[in-house]
Amino acid sequence: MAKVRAGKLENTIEQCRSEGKWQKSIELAEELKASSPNHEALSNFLIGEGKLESYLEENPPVETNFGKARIGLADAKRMLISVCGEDGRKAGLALDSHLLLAKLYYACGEFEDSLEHFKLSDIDSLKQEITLSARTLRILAESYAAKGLCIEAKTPKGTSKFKTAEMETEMINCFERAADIGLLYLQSQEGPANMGAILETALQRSPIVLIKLDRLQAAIDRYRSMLSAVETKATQSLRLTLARQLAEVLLRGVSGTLYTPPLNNSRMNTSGAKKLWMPRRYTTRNQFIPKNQHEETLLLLLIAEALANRDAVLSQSPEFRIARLHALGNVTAVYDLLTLATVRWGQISFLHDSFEKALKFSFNEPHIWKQYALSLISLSRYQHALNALKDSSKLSPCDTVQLLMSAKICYEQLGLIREGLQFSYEALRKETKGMRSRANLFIGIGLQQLAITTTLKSERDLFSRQAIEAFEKAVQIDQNDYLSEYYLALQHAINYNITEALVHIKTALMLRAEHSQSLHLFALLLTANHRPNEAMRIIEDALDEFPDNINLMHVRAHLELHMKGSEQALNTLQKMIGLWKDLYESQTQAISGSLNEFHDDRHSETKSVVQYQPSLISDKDSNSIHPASLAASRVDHALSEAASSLSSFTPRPGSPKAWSIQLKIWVLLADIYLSSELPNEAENCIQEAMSINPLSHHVMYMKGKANVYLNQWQEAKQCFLNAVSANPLFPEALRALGEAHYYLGEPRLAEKYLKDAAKIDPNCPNIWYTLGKVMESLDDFTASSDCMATSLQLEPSCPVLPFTSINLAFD
Amino acid sequence: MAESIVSDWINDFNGLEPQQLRSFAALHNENHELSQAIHTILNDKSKHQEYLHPICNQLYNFYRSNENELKCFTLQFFPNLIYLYLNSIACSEKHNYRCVETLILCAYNIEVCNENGLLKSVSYRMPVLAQASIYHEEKNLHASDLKRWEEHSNKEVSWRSLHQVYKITAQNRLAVMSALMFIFNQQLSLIQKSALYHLCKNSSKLAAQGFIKYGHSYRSSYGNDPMNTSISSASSTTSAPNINKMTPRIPLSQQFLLEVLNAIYFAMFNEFASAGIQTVDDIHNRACYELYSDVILVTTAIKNSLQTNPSGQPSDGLMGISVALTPSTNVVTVSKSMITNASFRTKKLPDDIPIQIDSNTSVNQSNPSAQSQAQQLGSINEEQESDTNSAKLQQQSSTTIVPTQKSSKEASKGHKTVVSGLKKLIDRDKDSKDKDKDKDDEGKKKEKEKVEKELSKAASAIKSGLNDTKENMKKLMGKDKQNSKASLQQQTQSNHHDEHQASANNGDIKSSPLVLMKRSSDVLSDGLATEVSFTNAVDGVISNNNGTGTHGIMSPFDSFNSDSESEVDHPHQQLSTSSSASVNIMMDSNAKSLGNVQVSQV
Repeated sequence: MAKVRAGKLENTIEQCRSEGKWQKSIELAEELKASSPNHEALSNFLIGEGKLESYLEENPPVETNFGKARIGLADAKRMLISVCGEDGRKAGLALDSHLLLAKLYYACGEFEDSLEHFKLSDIDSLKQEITLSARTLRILAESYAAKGLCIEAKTPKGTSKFKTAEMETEMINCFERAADIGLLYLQSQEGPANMGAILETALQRSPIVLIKLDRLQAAIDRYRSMLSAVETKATQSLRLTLARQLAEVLLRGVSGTLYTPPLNNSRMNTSGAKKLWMPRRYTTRNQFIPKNQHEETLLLLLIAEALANRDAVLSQSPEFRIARLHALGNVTAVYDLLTLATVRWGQISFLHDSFEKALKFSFNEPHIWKQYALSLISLSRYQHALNALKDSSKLSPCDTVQLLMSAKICYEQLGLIREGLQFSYEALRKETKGMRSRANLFIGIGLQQLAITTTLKSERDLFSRQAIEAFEKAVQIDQNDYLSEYYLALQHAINYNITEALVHIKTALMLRAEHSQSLHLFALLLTANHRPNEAMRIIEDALDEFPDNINLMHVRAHLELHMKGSEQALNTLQKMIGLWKDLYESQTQAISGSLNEFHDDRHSETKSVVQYQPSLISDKDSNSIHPASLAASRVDHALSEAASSLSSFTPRPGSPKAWSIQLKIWVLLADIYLSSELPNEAENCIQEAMSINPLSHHVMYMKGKANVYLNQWQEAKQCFLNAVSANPLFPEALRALGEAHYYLGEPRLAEKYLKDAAKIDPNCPNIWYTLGKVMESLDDFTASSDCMATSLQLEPSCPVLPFTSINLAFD
Repeated sequence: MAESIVSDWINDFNGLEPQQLRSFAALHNENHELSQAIHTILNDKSKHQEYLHPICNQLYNFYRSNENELKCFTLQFFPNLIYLYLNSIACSEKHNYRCVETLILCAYNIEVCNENGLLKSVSYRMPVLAQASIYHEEKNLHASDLKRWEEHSNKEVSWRSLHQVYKITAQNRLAVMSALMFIFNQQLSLIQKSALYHLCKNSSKLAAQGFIKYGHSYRSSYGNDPMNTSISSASSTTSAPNINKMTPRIPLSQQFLLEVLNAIYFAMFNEFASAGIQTVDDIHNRACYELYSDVILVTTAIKNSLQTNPSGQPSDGLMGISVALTPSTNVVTVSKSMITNASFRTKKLPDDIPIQIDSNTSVNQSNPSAQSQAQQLGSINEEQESDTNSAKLQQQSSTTIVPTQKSSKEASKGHKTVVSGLKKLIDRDKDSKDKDKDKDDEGKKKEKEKVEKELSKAASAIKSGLNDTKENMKKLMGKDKQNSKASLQQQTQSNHHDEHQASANNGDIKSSPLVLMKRSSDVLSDGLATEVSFTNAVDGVISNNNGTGTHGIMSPFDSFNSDSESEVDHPHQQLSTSSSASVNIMMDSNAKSLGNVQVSQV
């Protein structure tokens, strides 16, 4: 009777043990001891075990707890020692109690004693063929773990090299077995189990000791072997750490040639000749097996990300703060590695997806937000990026870089000049270190753009004065900055202070000789200084250094047209077309390919086919011609949008930017044909341009010019009128319209348009000359002579192309 | 001292028999003294005059030889040489460094081509979690993790392919430098560790030269790096801490800095922690100054990981990896009330209306039999659309701008991208009708089967809705081809339904034939883009059009109004002859049909 009861009790106890219910196990063991005295050894063992385990749960066996453990574990020690003797051996408990004692000694920091008990337990003689219970598995795993840790902690002093090597091998073996058995144990656990500090340390330690011994490949193999074990709830957090660490090892210690790819798991399983004490591994068919370090790193990071994401805490209440920060730290660590691994390969959309997902649990986390915003910028999703930057700046108020980035996006991509200016002012206000000159420069750029786009003279003068001040401040603070000097020169040029501008552009070029925009401006300034030959030389030299720069070619074509005749210019044009084919044709075809990555249709705000592309003005490869002004490009945008909805016009597939460059080449070519007196060819060019965008004011203007050539003034007038309605701030078209009216015998209207033109561009001699002619026909000779005089005065400082035709430069 | 080592080395090599090369090469890998001496000379401008040329010459010979050891030996000086070269450009002293330029150019060209003269490329597959791997099984993962990566599915990522370069210009200079750094990175773990120190130092100079230092004094010390004492004393003469206006800044590019950062990150965890951290700071500052978003992404990530790395710091050794225990507090405090990402179950959203629209996309492409149903569904909202469009038209007809017709060339180019055009159309379609229900395409495709079920349900509903228009249709269609399939009938019926609506709504526009013409030609070209993939539909339409040709105004209107539907309804008779696979539809056919339209208009 008693025996049966005891047997039943034993079963219950066994269950408690495997579930880690130590208090209950102790209670039951006491009961067992009371009920059947012949089970005393067993009871003692159980009590000792229970006390040891429950103590270690409260006080994990780490170095700081060693001293405390010596007192706290005295009871357990006594109990377990009592079982080690003859009684214990009879009851078959000696092995287990030796192992537990070894663990106990390790927890107390008494490594020698611990190792002694391992020796006594004769653990290594165990045969792998036996199937073990979960509890035994755990004891075994922990024992190997503790043994490894003991060997590692015991500093081998004065021992021979051979001895040291032997110890090392022993330690590595211990860790390896601890890992295998530990994983097997964890796989047998259903719910999330606490694996305990000893086991966790040993599992993570096993590859690290190999790194320490400079056996990197072995360490990597260790990681791989642990990671290929099938995941359970109990191993998730361990796997997160291991996956991240292996990714770290691959990123920090391995480079291309040193890498050996992992083997297929199924092969690994069979080679081990059916060991029972091995964890199950992933063996699905058709597995992804990394072939190089990038694939493996990314795979690991993806897995780590998925795991870390799962644990991310969304609760914001303070009681979860520590848990939340811990989880966030884990995720962030993975993201940082992912950033390192992807950006270099241009896989930013990949990274962006991760950050987007992270926002859910990253409320008010400046790091994640900043990275998110940056990834959007790199993806050229500017509108979105600007919004993200606004939020992100709130979280890190001292970060002037983000403000300046917002400003740059506003200027360069979105055409929001005033908003950009505000960001720049804010950056200057908050300025911390090193960025003060940049803030001033950006303020200047904003003011310059405002000055270019306003028509009110008083406002324009004010803005350009302020712009000069800002640029001068920037130059003063940072005397080594070519960009500020360049902008200072540009502003002077726009104000027609040619000599002043020349001084500054020379400084800019001295600071950086190879800056295409500076060279461009320099050439234009030389033409405005009656030195066209020098300008030509500069352009030629610049084209040697920047052979693919269509802007510079554009200038060259104009110069050639004026200096050497159309033959030469045609040659240049031919080159431009060839270049366009080389550089952009692919963009117009590969719509489903790489381009879509950058212009992700899913996210574009306006679903129009022609996208808003003020970036025509400036682009990463700075290859766009004749941007006129931001306002004009806005007009362009609006019109192309209208065109796509309105008429016989099908927008060309592919990048609108590429097409707009082609359009401008056609327009220029038409101009050259007209000057070589080939109106039919010019007409064909205009047709080509029109098929790209029929509503471009450049095309309409050129069509008008062709009509003028044929003396068809009525048609010409209509074309110019169209151009002006498309872009009311287009001075050439206004001038031409005025001229058309003049020839059609409508001098009053002509006067009106010419005055408008002069208001927009008061420095163009041509406008004043035409106006002079008109005034003459109106018999207003004083006004006429004034106009002519102005024209004469302006003529020497007139560049071959407007200074504002240079695109915005940011680097 | 350095001089004598280097001149011995040069003389040794010059007196070498070809068969001795291998043993000569073997000596280099461990010869730290020699590397040190060469670095010293490269760092000391005063010695360039005498030694730079022979060194470059010899390194070039090394690089050209097929001995990997010698190549690797040369590789370690790349950062140093790149700095020398870029600095010489910035100082306009290029003429003194021709030999460096030549070496760089040759090394680059050797690297971008393989033996057969083809361009080399380094690429890898982008892993996806949806595919099981040796480290995971897809079933254990959250559905969202799986889905999200699908679009990247096993995409091949390769390092930007490069061309051979005959001359280094301002335009390609930094691309060449990035390529060299990329090659350097490929061999990082084979390069002598001491070279990593020089890497850090030269990268710092590249990034920070010509800038005023904030926050810390110009590097007088690198902390406790082993190489520090010996090297800094040797090079202190050149990198004197004077920040005068004369040291020019060196122009850099994002890609170049990214490659450098990759190497620096490696150096940071391979003995040169403090030097590496210092360099990352320098690069970060430069990137901020230039507003390089890509570079800032990486530097921020590195800096953040240094601050909060859960496993360890680079200075700990062991690649910054140490045991990171799960905090016990985690287990204790995790209560049921805490919400984590795992607390969310992904619930499938109800597959309601948007799917029907989307089915246009998926079903049309794959399953012609379901096509007609889909089109019917698409036409539900037609009425509204024609309203807004008519308003637009009115506006447009009053503008002063008179665009001319597009040239024929353009139109024929139009169908090169048939599929893309189609996609766009569908997008627009979806957008206009379904703005608020707009959903992710990707996910939908997966649910195609479901969709089809839905479709059949919806189709039956619509059939009943169409009944009232059917009568109308019969009158209108006069001699409609009876032999067309039943499904096609349905389709035309729905179209005619639209036409009806359209003509009713746009009465005021009838008066503007010019606009009509424009519109029709617009639609023509729109249609062209899609026709080819919808030959089935086109067949049906043509029969339809033969019938409708008698009652004028409708067809162009119709096609305009159902912009999105244009794959079905445009008056394109010519196509009937070449409907099977006519990718190359010529414009004259277009013009003819356009003529037809005009006639019917007038």
